[in-house]
Amino acid sequence: MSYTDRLRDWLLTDDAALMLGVMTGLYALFTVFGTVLGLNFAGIVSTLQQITFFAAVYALLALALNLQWGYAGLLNIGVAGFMAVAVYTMAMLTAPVNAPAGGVPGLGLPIWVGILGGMTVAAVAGGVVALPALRLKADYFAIVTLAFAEIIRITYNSQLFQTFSVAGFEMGTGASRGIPAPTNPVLSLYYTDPSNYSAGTTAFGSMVFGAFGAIGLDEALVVDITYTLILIGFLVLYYVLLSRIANSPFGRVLKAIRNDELVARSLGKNTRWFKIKTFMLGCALMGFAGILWQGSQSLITPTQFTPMLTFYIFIALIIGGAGSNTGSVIGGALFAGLLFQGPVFVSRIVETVFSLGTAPNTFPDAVAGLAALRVEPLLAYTLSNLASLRFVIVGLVLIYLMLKQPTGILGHRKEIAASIDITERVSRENSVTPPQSEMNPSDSQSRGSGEDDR
Amino acid sequence: MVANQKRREFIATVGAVSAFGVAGCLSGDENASGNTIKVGVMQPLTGPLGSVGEPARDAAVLPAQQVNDADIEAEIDIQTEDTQTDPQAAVSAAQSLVDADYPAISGPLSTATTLQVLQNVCKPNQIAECTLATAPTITDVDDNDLLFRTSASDALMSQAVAQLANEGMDVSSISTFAINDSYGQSLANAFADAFDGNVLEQVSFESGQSSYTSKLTQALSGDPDALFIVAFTENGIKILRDFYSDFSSDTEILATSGIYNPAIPENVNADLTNITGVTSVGTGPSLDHFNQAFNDEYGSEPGQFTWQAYDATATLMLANAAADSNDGAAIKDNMRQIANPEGTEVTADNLAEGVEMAMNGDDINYQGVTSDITFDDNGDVESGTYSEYWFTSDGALETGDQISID
Amino acid sequence: MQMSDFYSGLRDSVGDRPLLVVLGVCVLILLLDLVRQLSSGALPARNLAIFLKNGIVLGLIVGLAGVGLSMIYSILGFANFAHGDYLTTGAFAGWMTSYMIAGFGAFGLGDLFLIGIAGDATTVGVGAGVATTPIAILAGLLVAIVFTVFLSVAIDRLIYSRLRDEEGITLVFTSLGVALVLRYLIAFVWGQNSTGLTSTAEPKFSVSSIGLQINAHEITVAVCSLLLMFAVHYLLQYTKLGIAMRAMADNRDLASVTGIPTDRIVRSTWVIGGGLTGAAGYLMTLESGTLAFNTGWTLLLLIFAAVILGGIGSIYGAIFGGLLIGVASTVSLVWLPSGFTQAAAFALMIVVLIVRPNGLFGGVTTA
Repeated sequence: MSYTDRLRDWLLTDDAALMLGVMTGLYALFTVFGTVLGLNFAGIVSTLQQITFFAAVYALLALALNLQWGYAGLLNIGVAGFMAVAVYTMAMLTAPVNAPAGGVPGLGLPIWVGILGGMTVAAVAGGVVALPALRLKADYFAIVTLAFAEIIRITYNSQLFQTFSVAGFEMGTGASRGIPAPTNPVLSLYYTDPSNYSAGTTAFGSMVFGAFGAIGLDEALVVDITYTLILIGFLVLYYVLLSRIANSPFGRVLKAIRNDELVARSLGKNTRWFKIKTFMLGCALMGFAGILWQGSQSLITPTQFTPMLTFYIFIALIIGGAGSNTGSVIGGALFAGLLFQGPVFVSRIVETVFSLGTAPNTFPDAVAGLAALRVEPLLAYTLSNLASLRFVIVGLVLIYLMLKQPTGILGHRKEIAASIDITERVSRENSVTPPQSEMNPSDSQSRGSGEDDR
Repeated sequence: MVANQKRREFIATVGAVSAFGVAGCLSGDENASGNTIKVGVMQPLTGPLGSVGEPARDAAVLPAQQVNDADIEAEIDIQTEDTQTDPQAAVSAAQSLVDADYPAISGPLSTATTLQVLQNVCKPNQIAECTLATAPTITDVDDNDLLFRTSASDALMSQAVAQLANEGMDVSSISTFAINDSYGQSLANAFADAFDGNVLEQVSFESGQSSYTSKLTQALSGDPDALFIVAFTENGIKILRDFYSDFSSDTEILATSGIYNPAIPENVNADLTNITGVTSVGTGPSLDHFNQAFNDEYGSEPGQFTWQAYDATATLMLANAAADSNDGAAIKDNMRQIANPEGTEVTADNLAEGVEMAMNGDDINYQGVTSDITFDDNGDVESGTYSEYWFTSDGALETGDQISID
Repeated sequence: MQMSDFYSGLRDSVGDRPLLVVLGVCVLILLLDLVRQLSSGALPARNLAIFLKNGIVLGLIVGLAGVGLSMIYSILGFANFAHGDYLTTGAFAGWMTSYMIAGFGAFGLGDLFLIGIAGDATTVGVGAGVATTPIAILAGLLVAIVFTVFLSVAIDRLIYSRLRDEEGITLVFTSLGVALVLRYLIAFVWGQNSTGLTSTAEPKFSVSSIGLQINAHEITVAVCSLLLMFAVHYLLQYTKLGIAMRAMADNRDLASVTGIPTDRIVRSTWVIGGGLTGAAGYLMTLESGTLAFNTGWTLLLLIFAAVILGGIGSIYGAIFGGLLIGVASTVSLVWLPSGFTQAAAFALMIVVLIVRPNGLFGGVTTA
């Protein structure tokens, strides 16, 4: 076995190494992109920070979705709706009682109450949907969650609930104009007055800003990096939590349900209750991830929660490999890098590097140039309409990934429901029994059992 | 066909300039080349507002092109970004402009993206932003004076329409028919507050529907004197087609800038004489020159928000020249300097000269396409100017008297 | 499927489903309220008639597109998210043809290719319509069907066929990729604007007693979609191909063992499903008079709702579901604020599924 083969094996078998490899690859790619675009050091660091941010949020959401889809087989395509419920609840609970001009009144509660409230309400919403909908088959269940998410978005967009009062408390959703999110707590780590940066920095802030300023990174970037690091912290928490759940008795029941619900039920498990609990937990985790992401962005509007967001999260999970927590994280990173930001950077580079003077205004004019054996009009037309083509690239990359790895990068890891891996013993026996050909029938199982349960 | 090709040299320019920029970075001293004026342009090129954002983007890069075509010292470096009509993507795009050292952003279009970009990118990084969003919220937002806008606030627009309805047309009952996003909701609500009379129904619609007849039926069910339509041009075409197909033209139609488009008559194909509208365009000193330049360049009539987009880039460019630095804080300090009275008048006609004068430290006064552009303390255009418009029976779009709001 | 089955199924479920009773009471209350509003004049009869007319026309188009989606869903086992964009592609191909024929000679081919979205071939100039240019419309409809058939078979060969053994979810997200590619290629070529396409000078027929007007395009849409639906019904019920398709939808392995050429059936499914979708796209544009690159994508959720509401695999379910969704999205204006019409359609679907978990015509596949 050559050195590169061994490196590849190590990368593919060791989870930490794989994650590290993917992130290093993405960083290298975007450093090259940044250099081609002529960014300076701070610009490149900021680019990498953005990639990391999106990788982290998509990984968080893919992990929560993996609990529902990968483990319990619940096809939830209303992720955006449950996120919206949590983020909006958080914002409505924490908005100031006396709203400033253009704001929306709220209950003025502390932010941690808002976050807990948001997660709780998202879990309850999950329960309300799951309770009646679980009787449905997977496809029907899926469309119900999608319809629910759309109803939620339409409701938050409606002027009916712009402001309303419950038991004397004024509150509201802000309708399509949105509701301001509470100030990001990270800011108060650095600034004495988070709403006015010029009021001065805290002692900690001065120290950190000074250190990073020395290498050319400004304050805004330091704040962003800090928040991204916090996200990574939560990502580790999510990962540990979900891996523990997967290996707990609870998780084994879930996997049993996914593999064969009838068997699980025959063994006396109340599968319905298990599913509802899982769905509610998943929704709460999605809600929290939503708060960490959309809630950190100063304004919350219904347009942030379109079905496309759900599809993006699903794509992240699928290209990573449903059923695998490591796969979810890697999928989040790959999605953020290759599908979400990659095409944007490619089109930016194309616009910057290539220069073709004249562009026809319509497609027929552009093609007419071809008749005269001139390619430039078409190329110039292409350059001036890159925004549309960018989504074509996204689509093509998605199709390519699906054709190349239909089950995702780590999708071949079929996790087993039993706590003791029986197939492993079988395959070991096989490996001592001489006739090699007998190993093949159990190929898929032996591949799965060779790997860890993450 | 070949004669129909229009120049879009901004791409060429961007290429040349950024190659220059790389060289600047390598020598480690990019600010020394003070003759490069950097402006980032952000418009929704995809997503729900894509069809509005594309022409706005075209208009927003036009000033740069005019100046680069002229033989002056300065070079304009423009980078365009797509907000995807999505606040997340907008923040990400704005951040990339900051990463590439653009000190000012022309755009974006929607209120949500404007506020997200302001709070998450412009305020922390001291970037000047000149938006086209129309919501009244923009006026009062805590922006460290970084946020300007060249379009008029809905608060004023709604007053203008209400004034026209109450005094000019003697309408006593009205229904509103508005697109169900922040633009439509905000304008329809502000109008309902300003209108002195009965508001019968407030109907909202989604864009891209196959038929608006049911919702129009609902809006017209109380038999109002007039219907106030808030729509973008493409929804407007569909709505008006449905209206003239099923309802009586006895009902007056009040409209805003979305219907102010010469494409309307040829696509609706009806007698449009019952439409009276208010547009914030048609009064600026640079209007004719801009319309001509836009048509020459892109072979189509300028539409909604193109006028404002041009002014946004032009003011940011001039302020940059006056500040003589690619620094957001310096640019915002010079915005009023170059736009407000006192100084040599600069229009779209002599923009390149204007940039040169600003660079020389001369006092200039930019006379825009939408209005004469005078920024007040909030960064809004002072006393938006409006004019009445209507369609003649043979489908010509005519603009009438100015409406002044007190 | 027979209506009597449906009723007996309904009767069986009443006993153990108090939910159904509650639902029935709700529907009754709404109907009574409708009568009250009509009689008191709070709701003019003309308004209700317009709501119903629009709901039915929209419902027929959604149903027609839904039949295709439903067939592919049941035979290939995946929800095709690109279906809406097949519809758009068909509409563009068809209308290009109509414009080429209707405006031939009067405008340059390049302008006609752009169907008025850019260029000089304006609506008024070309004046395409059922009464003004019937041949152009007929040709356009045929091209829309043929082109969409070609497109869906080609995409299946190129992409989906390689994933035949994968799980549904893999195919769903592959189709999402296909959807993006199609939609934004159209945006790339035609831009994102939408303009008027059809002539507005079409004959109108009025029902004078309630003041309702029906124009020639609406009648054409209704007639064409009913004819197409009937053709599919005939095909599935009485031809060998139809029987084979139903067999395959019921049990693929069994069908394969019995000697049914599954590959050929899959292709036939795409041919029929694609053709109906192309027709739906063309007809929808004829009725609405406007077309944009995202027309089909906007409609997709409603089509899904219709298919699921009716029960996956049942073409009658898709048609009936389409009508229900269409009517719900307009008649709900009587009670709900105007922002909630789509929400009402979705809510109706959820309620129906709670009462009948397999959809209205569930359990019966492709029949």
